[in-house]
Amino acid sequence: MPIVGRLTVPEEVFQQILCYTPRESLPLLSLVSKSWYMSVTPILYRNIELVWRRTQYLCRETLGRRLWCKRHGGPCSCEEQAPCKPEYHPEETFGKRGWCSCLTTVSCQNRTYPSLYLLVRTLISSPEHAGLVRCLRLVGAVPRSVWTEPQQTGLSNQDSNQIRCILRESVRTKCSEAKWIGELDRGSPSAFAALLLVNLKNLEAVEMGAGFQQLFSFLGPYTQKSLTQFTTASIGAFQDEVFMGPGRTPEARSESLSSLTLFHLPNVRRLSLNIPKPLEGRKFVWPDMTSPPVNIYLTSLELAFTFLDEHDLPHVLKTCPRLRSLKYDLWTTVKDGEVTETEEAIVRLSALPQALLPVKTTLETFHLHIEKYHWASGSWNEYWEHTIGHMSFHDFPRLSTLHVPLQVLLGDRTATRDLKATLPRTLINLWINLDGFDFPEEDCPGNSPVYGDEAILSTMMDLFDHRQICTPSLQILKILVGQVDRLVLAQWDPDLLANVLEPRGIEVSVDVVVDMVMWRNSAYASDTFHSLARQLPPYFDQETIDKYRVLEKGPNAQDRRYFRMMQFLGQGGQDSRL
Amino acid sequence: MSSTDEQKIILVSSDGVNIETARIIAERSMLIKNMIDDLGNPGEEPIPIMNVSEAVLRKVLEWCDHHKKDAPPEKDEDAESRKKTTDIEEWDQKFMQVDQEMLFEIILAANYMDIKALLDVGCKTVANMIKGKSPEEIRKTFNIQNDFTPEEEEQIRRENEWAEDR
Repeated sequence: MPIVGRLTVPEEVFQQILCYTPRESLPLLSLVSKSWYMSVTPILYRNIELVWRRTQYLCRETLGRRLWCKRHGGPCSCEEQAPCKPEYHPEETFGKRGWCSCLTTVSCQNRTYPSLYLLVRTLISSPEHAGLVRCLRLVGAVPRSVWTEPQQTGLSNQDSNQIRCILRESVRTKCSEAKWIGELDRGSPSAFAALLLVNLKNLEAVEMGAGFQQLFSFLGPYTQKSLTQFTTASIGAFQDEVFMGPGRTPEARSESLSSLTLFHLPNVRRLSLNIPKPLEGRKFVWPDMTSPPVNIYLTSLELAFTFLDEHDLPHVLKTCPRLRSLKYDLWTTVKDGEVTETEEAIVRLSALPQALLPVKTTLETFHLHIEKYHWASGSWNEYWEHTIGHMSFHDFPRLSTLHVPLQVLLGDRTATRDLKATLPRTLINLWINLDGFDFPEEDCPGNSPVYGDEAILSTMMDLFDHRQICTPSLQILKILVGQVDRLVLAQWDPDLLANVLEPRGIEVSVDVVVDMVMWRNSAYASDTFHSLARQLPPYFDQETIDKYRVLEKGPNAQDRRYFRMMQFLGQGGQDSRL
Repeated sequence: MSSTDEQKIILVSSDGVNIETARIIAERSMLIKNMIDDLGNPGEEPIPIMNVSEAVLRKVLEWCDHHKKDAPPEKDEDAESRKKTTDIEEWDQKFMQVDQEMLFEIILAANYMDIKALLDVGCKTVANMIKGKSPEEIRKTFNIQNDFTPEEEEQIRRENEWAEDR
C-alpha cells in the first residue's frame, strides 16, 4: 500500500486518487517511490491506448476549389494555429483523385508520437508487465513513417536495431514465418501489433485502426491458440477520424479475410470488423465459413465500412446463431467512370431477409447503413437508385431496436408502403436515417429527397395513431437527418420535423428526437472529393451522432420553422404525394 | 416521536468523545446509516466510530451538515473509468484547506465511514496537488522518501517511455 508521509493509504483510496490524475502523469507517479510504483504500474498497463492524432489538410486550392480543411484530433498547438496553406501541398504531390498525398509532411513541432516500438520493447522483455494488459487500443491516422523513423519514434538507431534483433528471436521461437520477420524488419505496424498480441497472455479486448487490418494474416493459425481469452475485438471498424487513404480501408482490397478467424475464438462475445474487398477479379473463398464451428457466445457483431454484401452476409451469420445485435454498414462500389449500375453496386433488399435468417429469432438490435462508394467519381446518379426493393421486419420475434434508412422500410418513391406494417410489435427504439436522394427528372442538376418532410410527417403521424395496435412498446423515435451541401433541390427541415412530431409524440408516450448530422458533399458538386466526403461514420451510437451533429442553424431558423409548420398543419397534416 | 430529520444520535470517536448530531447529518455516512438500520431504536445507544478521532469526526460532520440536503449519491459508475473532471465546488475547496495530515485523515475517515462524495472531494484535492508535478516535487509535497537507486529509476523511466509525452 502506498505510503504518504506517515500514513499508509489503502490501495482502493489511492486507486481513486489515480482516477483523477491525468493518464500522462502516471509514468511520473511511478517514479515517486517503490510503493507508488507498485500501485501505479497495474493501472498504467491495464488498459493501453496509443492514439496518434494529427491534423488533416485536404486541400482543394490547387484544383481551383475552395480550401477544405478538416481538423482532427485533440489539442496540439499546430492544430490550433496552422491554417491550410497551399505551400503545405506542393502541386506534384496531389494524387490523381485530387487529394493531397503529402499529409504527413505537415509536422507537429514539439510533439512526439507515442511509439509502438517502445511499447513492444517493454512488453516483450517483461512478461510481468505483459501479463497486466487487459485492453489494447491502437488508434489513429498513422503514417508509416511515424512508426519507423527513429527520430519520430523516439528511438535511437542502436536501440531500434537491438529491438529488431530481440523481436526476430522471439518470433523465431514462436512462429517461424519468414513473412512476419520480413515485415517486422520493414517496420510494419501490423507485424508489431501481432507480436504484441502473442505476448499479452491476459489480453481480453483489443481495438485497432484500419491500418492494422492485416494483423491476423501474420498470426494465422496462431490466432486461435494464443487469443483464447479474447472477449472483444474491433479491427478497423470504429468510427474514428481515420484518414482512409490508399493502403487503408475501406478502399483496400485484400487477398484474404484473415480477420474472419476471430469468429472462431472460443470466448469472443463482441466483434467489430471491417471487411475489405477481394483483389480485382477475384472472389473471396470462404473455406472456414462453409462448415464453420459455431460460436454460440458471439452476441454482438458490427460490420463497419464493410464490403461484405447481402449475398455473402449469411456465410458469416451462420457462425453466430445466437447473435443479438447486428450493426451492418454496407458499402457498395461503382468503378471508375461507370454511370450505369453494375450488379456489384446494387443492393437487393429482397436478399436481406434471407441473409438474416440464421439470426432472425435471436436478433434484438439491428442497424443498417448503406453507402454507395465510388472508386472515383463521374457518376452522379445518386444515393438510392442502387438500392432495390424494401424489407419488412414485422416478423422478427425479439427485435427491439431498429435503425435503418427510411427507404429500406418504405421502398422507393413510387411505393405507398405502410411504415407501421413493417415494424415488429416488440419494437422499443426506432431510428430512421434520412439520407435518400434521387433524381425526379432527367438531366436535373440536383437531387431531392426520396421522401420529403410532408411524406415523413404523415408516415410518422400514422405510426403514432396506430401505436397501441402495431408497436405498443415503442418509446423512442429518432430521426437522423443527413444534409447535402449544395446543388440539391430540396432538403429536410429538422426543425419542422421536430416541432410537429415532438408534441404528438408526447401524447402517445413516444420520445421524439430529431438530430441533424454531418453535412454531406453531393457527388455532383465535388466529384473529385466525393470518395472522401462520403466516408461518413455509420451513426450506430449516440456518441457518434453527437460528434457529427450539426449545431448551426440557419439565420432565420425560427421564422422558417414556424412558417413551414403552419403550412403543414394547414394542409391537415396530409401529404398529397402519399 | 420526532421525525427522522430532527432525531439526535450520539457518535463516539476513537478517543472516546461523545458527539451529538442530527440523524440526517450522520446518515450521509453509509456506515452509520446501515448501523442505525441494523440496530433500530436510533438515539438510544451511542454509535462507536472506531477509526476516527474527535477532531477528524467533527470535521467530517461539518461537511455532512453542509451537504445534508444533497441528492443521494448516483449509482456506482464503472470504477475503471478515468474521471475527467477534477472540479471542486467552492465550499468544498475551502473545507479542504487543511494541513496535509488532516486532509488524508479526512479521506481515510470518508473511506471508513463510507461517504462517497466526501471521499471524491478528498481524492480530487490530492489529485490536484499531484497534477503537473515532477516526481521530486511530489516527494517533497507529500514528504515521501525516494527509495529507488538511480539505476532502478532509469530502468522504470525506460520501461514507461512509451507512455510519456503524449
